[in-house]
Amino acid sequence: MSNITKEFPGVKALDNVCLYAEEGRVLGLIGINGAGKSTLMNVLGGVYKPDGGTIELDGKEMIFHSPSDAYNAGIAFIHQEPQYFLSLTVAENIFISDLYMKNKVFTDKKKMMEEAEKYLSIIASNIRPDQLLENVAIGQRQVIEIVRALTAGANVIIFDEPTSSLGRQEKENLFKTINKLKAEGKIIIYISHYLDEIMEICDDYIVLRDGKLVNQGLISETDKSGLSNMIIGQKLEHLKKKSIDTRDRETVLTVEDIHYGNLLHGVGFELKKGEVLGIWGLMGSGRTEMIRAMLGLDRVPGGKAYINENGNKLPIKKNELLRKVGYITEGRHFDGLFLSKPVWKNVTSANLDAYTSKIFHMLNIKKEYEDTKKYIDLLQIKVPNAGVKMATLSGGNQQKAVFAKWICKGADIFILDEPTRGVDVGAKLGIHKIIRELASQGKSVILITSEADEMVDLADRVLILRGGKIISEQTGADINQKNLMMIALQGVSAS
Amino acid sequence: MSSETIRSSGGLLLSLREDNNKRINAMVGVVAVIVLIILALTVPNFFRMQNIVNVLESVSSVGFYSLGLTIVLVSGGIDLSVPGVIMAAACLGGSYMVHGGNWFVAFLMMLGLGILFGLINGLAVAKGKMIPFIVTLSTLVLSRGIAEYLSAAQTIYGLPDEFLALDTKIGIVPIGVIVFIAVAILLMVLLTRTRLGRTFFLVGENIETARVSGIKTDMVLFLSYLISGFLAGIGAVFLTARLGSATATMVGDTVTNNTIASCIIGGASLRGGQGNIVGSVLGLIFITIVDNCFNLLGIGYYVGMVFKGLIVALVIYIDVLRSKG
Amino acid sequence: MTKAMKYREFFLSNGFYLLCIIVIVIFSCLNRSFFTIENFFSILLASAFLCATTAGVTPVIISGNMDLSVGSTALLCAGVMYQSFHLGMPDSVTLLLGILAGAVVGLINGILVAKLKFNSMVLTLGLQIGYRGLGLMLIGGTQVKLPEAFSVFGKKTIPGGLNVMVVICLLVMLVLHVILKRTKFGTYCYAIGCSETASERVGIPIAKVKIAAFIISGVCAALAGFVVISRLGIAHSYIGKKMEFDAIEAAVIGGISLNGGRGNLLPGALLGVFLIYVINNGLSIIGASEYVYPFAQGIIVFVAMYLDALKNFRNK
Repeated sequence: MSNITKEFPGVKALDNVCLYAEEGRVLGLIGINGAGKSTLMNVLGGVYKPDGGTIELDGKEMIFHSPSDAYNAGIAFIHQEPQYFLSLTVAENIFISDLYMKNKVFTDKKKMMEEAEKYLSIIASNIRPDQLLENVAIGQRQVIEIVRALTAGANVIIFDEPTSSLGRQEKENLFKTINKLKAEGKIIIYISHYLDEIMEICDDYIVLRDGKLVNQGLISETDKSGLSNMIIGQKLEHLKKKSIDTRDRETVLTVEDIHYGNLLHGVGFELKKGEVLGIWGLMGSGRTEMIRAMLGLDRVPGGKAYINENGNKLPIKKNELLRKVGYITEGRHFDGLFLSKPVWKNVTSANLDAYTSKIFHMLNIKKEYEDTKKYIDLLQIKVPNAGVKMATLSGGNQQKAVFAKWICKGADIFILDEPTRGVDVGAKLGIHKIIRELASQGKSVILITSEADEMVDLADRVLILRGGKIISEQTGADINQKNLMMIALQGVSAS
Repeated sequence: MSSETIRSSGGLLLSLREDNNKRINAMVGVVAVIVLIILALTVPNFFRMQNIVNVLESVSSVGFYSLGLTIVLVSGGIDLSVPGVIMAAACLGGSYMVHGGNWFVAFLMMLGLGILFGLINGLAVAKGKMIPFIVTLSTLVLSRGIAEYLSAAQTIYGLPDEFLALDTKIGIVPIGVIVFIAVAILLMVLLTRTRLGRTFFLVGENIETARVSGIKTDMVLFLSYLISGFLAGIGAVFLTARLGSATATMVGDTVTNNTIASCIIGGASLRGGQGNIVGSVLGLIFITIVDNCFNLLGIGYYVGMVFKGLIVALVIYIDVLRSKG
Repeated sequence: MTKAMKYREFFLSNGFYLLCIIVIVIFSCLNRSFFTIENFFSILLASAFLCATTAGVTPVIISGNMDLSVGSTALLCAGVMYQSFHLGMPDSVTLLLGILAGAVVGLINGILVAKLKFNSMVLTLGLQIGYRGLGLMLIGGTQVKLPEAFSVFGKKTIPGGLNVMVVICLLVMLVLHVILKRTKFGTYCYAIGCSETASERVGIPIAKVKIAAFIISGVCAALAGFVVISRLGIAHSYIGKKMEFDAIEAAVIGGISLNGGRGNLLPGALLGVFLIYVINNGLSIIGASEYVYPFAQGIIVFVAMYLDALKNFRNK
C-alpha cells in the first residue's frame, strides 16, 4: 500500500501512509485509539475507498469496491466483532459463505466436519466442529473467523485485536497458528494494543499516530519502552492546568465487587463529592461494561453499590441507582436520544415528574419548552429553536442536549462515557467547560474517555483498568499522557 | 473518527427522512381527499343523510379499537386481540342479561373482561418479553373461543330495554357516537398532554433510551395494552347495544385490517413512536366511507375482501416508504 | 452451574416432552379408548393437513419472518382446484394448478417481504383477507359438494390401514426437515434467522432465500387445502380458518423460535402438531364441551411462547 490518504468530513484519518508487508512475515500495526489503524485496515479490506494512493498485491494494482472484492483477492479480515450464527454448528459457521456440497442438492456435512476439525485441532482443540456455536464459550467464538480465513485460502490475513477475548491457552494456540501461517508464506498484519504480544509474534512493526506513519522497523531492533515512546510521541507534554486533591472529600458513591464475564474480576471504587473521576484503560478493558453492570443495564451476578446520604452509607439497588445518576452513554443514537422527537421532549424526558401536575398528571408543556430554552442558552446548544427534531442537530449539539437532559433532571452523579466522541472541536471545548462547571458545583463525575488529552485536562483522579482489575490510581501531576499510556500498555508507570 | 461520519450521516439521513415523511403524509392526505371526491361524484346516494349516520355509527362501534390500537402502536406494539375480546365481552354480558342479570352489572362485566385481556396481553409483552404480535394473536383465538363457548355459537337475543337504551339517539346522533367522540378527545389529551402519553411516545421511539432515562418501560408497555383492553370493553357495550344482540361472529374478519390501515393512514407507524388520535379517526372515517361505497356500488362481499387485502398492502407500503425516507 | 440452574435448563429444553407425556397419561387414565391404535390413526388423519402447513411455515419462521396467510392460501387453492375440476381438467392438472396457485401466493408474499421490506406479519395478516376473498369467489358459496372422484383419493389407504393423505403429509414434513438440515437453502434459513446483518456480510443471497421460503409455505398450504377437500369431499368457506394460527402454535410448541434461527421440524414441530390434536381428540373422547378446546389451546400456546421467550432471554 502506498500513499494512502483518507479523509472524513473534518478529519484527515490517514495522511499519505505507506505500508509494505512481506510474505512469511508478521507485521505489527500499532498506535493508540484513533491513530488510524482501523481506517487503514478498512481501506485494505475494501470497506472504505481511499481518497488517494494505491494498493498493490503481488505487483498488481488492486481496486476494491467492496469487502467481497478484497476477500476474493485473498485478503481476510479477522474482525473484533466476528460475524457468526449462534444456532448453527461450528463447522457450518466456518463454511457458511462456501458450503461443501455432496452433489447439487445436499451439503456435505461430513466433509465440513473433517475440514473444520483439521483446522480447529491446531488452534482450539477443545471446540468440536459439530457443536452448536451457542454452546461455545463467548471468548472462543472468534476462532471461527480465523478458521474461516484459513479455509478460504487467504494470502493476507489481518488480525484486529484478536486476543481481546481469548484466554491464555487460546492465545498461545493462536500464536502457534500465526507462526504456522507465517511458515506457509502468508502475509500477516497484526493489530494490537498489547506490546507484549507485538514483541512476541511480530517481525516488523509500523507505528501510526494521528493518521501519519511515524515509525517502522524490525521488532528485533527495538523493545517495549521504545515502542511505547513511538506510540505516545514526543510532542509537547500536555500539563495539567490545576490539580485538586479530592481524596479526602466526602464519599458519595461506593461500588464494590463488580464482575463481568471474562472482562472484569471484582472491580470497586469510591466516588467523592465534586470530583471528576477518570476511568482509563485500553479499548476492551471493560470500562463501559463496568458502568452497565453497576447500573443494572446488563444483568451480571454480584456487585454492590452504596450511596451516601446525610453521612450514612446506604446500600442501593442497581435500578434505583440508574434513576439517580445522569448517564451519558457511548452510543448516543442507540440509547441516548429520541431522534425523531423535538429537542425539548428529549431534554425533559428524564425529568418528567417535575413537569407533571398532581391531578391528572398533566404535563406543563409551556414550562418544559421554556426550561429547555434556558438549558439551550446555558450549554450554548446551537439550534434555531427548541422545537426542532433532534435528528437535525450536529453531533456536538446532540451531545450537549444529552447533558441538558441530565442537568435538567438535577442529577448529583454524572457518568460520562466518551462524552466528546464524534463531536467537533468547538463543541468539545464547550462540553469540557460543562464538565468542569458541574464538578465545581459539587456534582460528582465519572469520566470514561479514550483520549489522553481529555483525561489529563479534566480528571482529578484516575483509576486504571487493566486485565479486569483496577491496577492503579493516579492523582495530581501523575495524571499525564505518558504515565497513563505506560500503565495501560505495560502495567507500570513511567517514572 | 470513522464512527463520527457514520453517526452524523445517520443523523442527516434521519432528518431527510423527517422531511420526506411530511411529504408522504401530505401526499396521503391529498390522495385520500381525491379518492373521496371521486367517490362522492360517482357513487349514487353518497350524500344521503342516512348514509352519513351509517358511516358515523360504524365508525364508533369498532372505532374504539382504532383508538386503542393507536396507543399500542405509539408505544411500539400491536394488539390483534381486540375483535375477539369485543365478542367475548359482548357474549359474556349478553348471556348474563338474558339469564336475568342486571344490565349495569353486565356493563361492568364487559368492561372487566376487556381489562382482563388487556392485563394478560400487557403482562405477557412487558414482563414475559413475548412478541406482541403473536401474544395478541393467541389471545384473539382464546377470546374468540370464549365468545363461542358463552354463546354456544348461537345469537344471543332479548337484551333488557335498559341496556338497549344505550343506543338511543340524541337528535340524530346516537349515544355511542357521542361517547366515542368524548373518549377520543380524552385519549388525545392523554397522548399529547399527560406524562403517561409522553412516555408512550418515548418508549415506542427508543426503548433503550427510555430505560436509561429512568422511565419504567415495562409499566408503560403494560398500560398501553391495558388501555386497549379497556377500550375493547367499551366497544363491546356499544356494539352490543346497537346490534341488540351478541354473537361470536359480530365483529367481521376485515375489522382488524381496516383498523390497522386506518391508524397507519393517520400517521401511526408499525415501528412505534408515531401516531395521533385525530389522524387515526380520520383514517377510520376514510376507510369506512370506502367500505360503505363498496356496499352502495353493490360490490359483492368476497370481491370487497380482495380489495381490502390490496388496500391494506398499499397502506402498509406507506409505512415502509416512511421508514426508508 | 447451580442445582437450580440445572433444573431450569432441563425444563427449558425438555419441558415440552414432559407436557406431552403428562397429557397422554391423563387422557389414558380418564378414558380407556384413548390409548388405542384406532384412535392413534384417527388423530393422525385429523392432523395430517396441519403437518403440511406447519412444515411449510417453518422455513419462513426460521428465516425470521412469519406467514399468516397459509389458511387463506389453502382456501384459495381449494377454490382453484374446485374450478379446475369443474372445467373438466384431468386430476393431475387440477392438482398441479392448485399447487401452482399456492406457489404464486408465496411468490407474491416473498417478493413483498424480501424486496420491498414489508413487515411480514402485518403484510400477510392483511393480504390473507384478499386471498380468502378470492378463494370464496372461486368456490362461490358457503358449501359446495365436490364430484365423487375427488374424494376417492382421500379415502385410499396403504397396507396397514394408514391413510394415503397421512403418509403424504408426513413425507412432506420429512422432506422439509431434510431440506432444512441438509441443504444450502436450509442452512441459509437458519443463518438469516440468527443474524441478517451477519448473513449479508458473508454473502448469503438473503432475498432469494426468503422468497423461496415463502413459496414453500404457499405450496404446502395448497397441499393442505387439497388434503382437506379430498378428505371431506366438499369445499366450504371455513377451510383454512385458524389454520395459520394452529401451524404457528405447533411450531412454537415444538420449540421453533418465533424470533427465528432455531428449532427443528423433527421431532419438535411434528410432536407439536400431535399435541394439539391429542388434546383436541382427548377432550372430545372424555366428552368435554367442544368450546373448552380453545382455552386448553390458548394456555398451552402461552406456556410454549413463554418458554421460547425465556430461551431467547438466556441466549442474549
